[in-house]
Amino acid sequence: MDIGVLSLLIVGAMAGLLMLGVPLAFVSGAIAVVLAFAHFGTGGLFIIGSRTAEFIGSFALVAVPMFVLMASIMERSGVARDLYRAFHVWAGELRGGVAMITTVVAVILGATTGIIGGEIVLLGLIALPQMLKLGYDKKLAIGTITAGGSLGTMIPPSIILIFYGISAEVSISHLFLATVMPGLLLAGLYIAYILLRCRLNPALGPPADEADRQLPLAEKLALLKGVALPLGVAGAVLISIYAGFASITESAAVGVAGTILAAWVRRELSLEMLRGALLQALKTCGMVFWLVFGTNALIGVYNLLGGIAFAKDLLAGISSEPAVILLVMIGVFILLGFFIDWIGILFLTMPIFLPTLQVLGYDPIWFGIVFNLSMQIAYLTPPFGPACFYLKGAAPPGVTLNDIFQAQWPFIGLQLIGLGLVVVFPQIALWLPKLVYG
Amino acid sequence: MRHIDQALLWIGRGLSWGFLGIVAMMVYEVAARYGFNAPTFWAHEIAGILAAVAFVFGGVYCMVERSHMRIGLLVDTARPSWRRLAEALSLLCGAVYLGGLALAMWSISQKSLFRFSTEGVWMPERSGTSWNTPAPAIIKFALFLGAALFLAVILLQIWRLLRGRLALDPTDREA
Repeated sequence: MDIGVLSLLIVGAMAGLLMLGVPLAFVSGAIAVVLAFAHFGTGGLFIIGSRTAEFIGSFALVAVPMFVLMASIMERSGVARDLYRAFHVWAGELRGGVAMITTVVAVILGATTGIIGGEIVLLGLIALPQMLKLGYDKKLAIGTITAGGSLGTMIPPSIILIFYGISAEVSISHLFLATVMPGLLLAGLYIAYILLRCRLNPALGPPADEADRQLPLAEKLALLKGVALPLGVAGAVLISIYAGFASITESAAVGVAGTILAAWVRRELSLEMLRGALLQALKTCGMVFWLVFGTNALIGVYNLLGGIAFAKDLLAGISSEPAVILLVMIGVFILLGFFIDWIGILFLTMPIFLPTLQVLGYDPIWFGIVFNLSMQIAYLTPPFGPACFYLKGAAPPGVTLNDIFQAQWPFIGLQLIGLGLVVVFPQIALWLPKLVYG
Repeated sequence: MRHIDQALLWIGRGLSWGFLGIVAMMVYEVAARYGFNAPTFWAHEIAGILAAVAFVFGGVYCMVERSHMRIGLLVDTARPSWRRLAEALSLLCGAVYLGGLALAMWSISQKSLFRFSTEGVWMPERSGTSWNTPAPAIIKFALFLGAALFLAVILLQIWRLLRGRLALDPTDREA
């Protein structure tokens, strides 16, 4: 069969099965098995098995459960609540102040986690009821939490960048540094937007209650003290990675130990908590890795059939202008982001995009950040916006999924602005790694 | 039959403690390297095996819990008969994939694990590090076992679906 027709069939089958609710891991895996068997017989299955075995043997992957564990323990302790309270009492009197604080807290929490789910749930439980109680505009409050919470993978550490680093064979610590400024840029855009909206219409974001802000200074400082240790641990992990004291996996593992210690000092450590965090890590890994196994298998078989070469030619044939091809690639990220998860997008597109990128002469580190920014958009876009579903699970009863979806659009606009800036000015991403590593 | 589910969930909870084991080993490794200038030869290899086993079994755990990522938007609100049909399709896709993977891993892990010299001495595929454990052979065999177990869980759920005993809960599985 002609590879072009076959490619269309694969895309059609994937879209169809996904829409029918087949788990993502099975969709790509089953197509891979059918293709391999139809074209090469039982021997074709070998490529599926060997690729899976090869992938799972990569030691950098061990960092993934470590970062999940760190986030999970942090979530189960009261650190986030204290952090929110601490900032709240310091800067609550501004109009829109609580929403801005939520964004700042989201950035700080982002430095302690490499995933987005827990952070959004936490903010949904802590900050959303607070903002709604103060009479905040519903959409502004919701968007602040989903967009802010999604920064968890934009601010290092980031599971997305670990997987990107492995597939693009670039330094993960370089990626972690490169994402810092774009992450802060996004947060800055959100804060500026909140400020502007509340300046134009003060009713959107009333100030915090007088009583809440009138804490004695000693108590304010005590709140800060309680969060200092866990945040110190998170900071130390990043420094250890950047300075190359220990590998990413080792740094993350030591970070887990530090987080457990911090929880113990805060008298929050319990067997129950540890058990829950460990199980959470097992489940997250089970979901994410099996998804990778499936897409990885499909790409392997597709490559054997000459599909990658075909797709590369197709991509290169779009235009002689590198910028146009780049825009098409970003467009594919965003389009796929409406329907499938970042990990599926990463493993489906990168085997095709990365070699093309090299030919065009773009920097793979920068491209990783462009991908990361595109996935920020993917988190929010309905109908499959993971951030929206996480928040739905934690939001008070009056907040419908429809409310949540509608609140995303202005923030998606801000993310597009951020993405556009980093695409036009790659220095935003690249100057920090250059400064540190030369 | 629910005992099988309970047993698998129990094994999963047990294996999740392997992550804590990895934490302990990595802390020891870093301390030994920097504090005593004596890096271990074993920490990374054991950590790699523990993690791989947990990754593989994590998929089985999610299958028992029915929490693998999917887009339920169109299906979960459909009529029950349609939902059962969609569920059958999901399980069928799962069976095809895991069946293929288990078959492939069976021959791969056999080649890697059951290797003998002409004198009949066991010589599995080894890692080639200073310790030279049979880690690659173990990981491949774990992947075979995990895929086979995963397939078994899917077949069990197909059987339940046919008997009308599979709970089709529209929980937030899109996560």
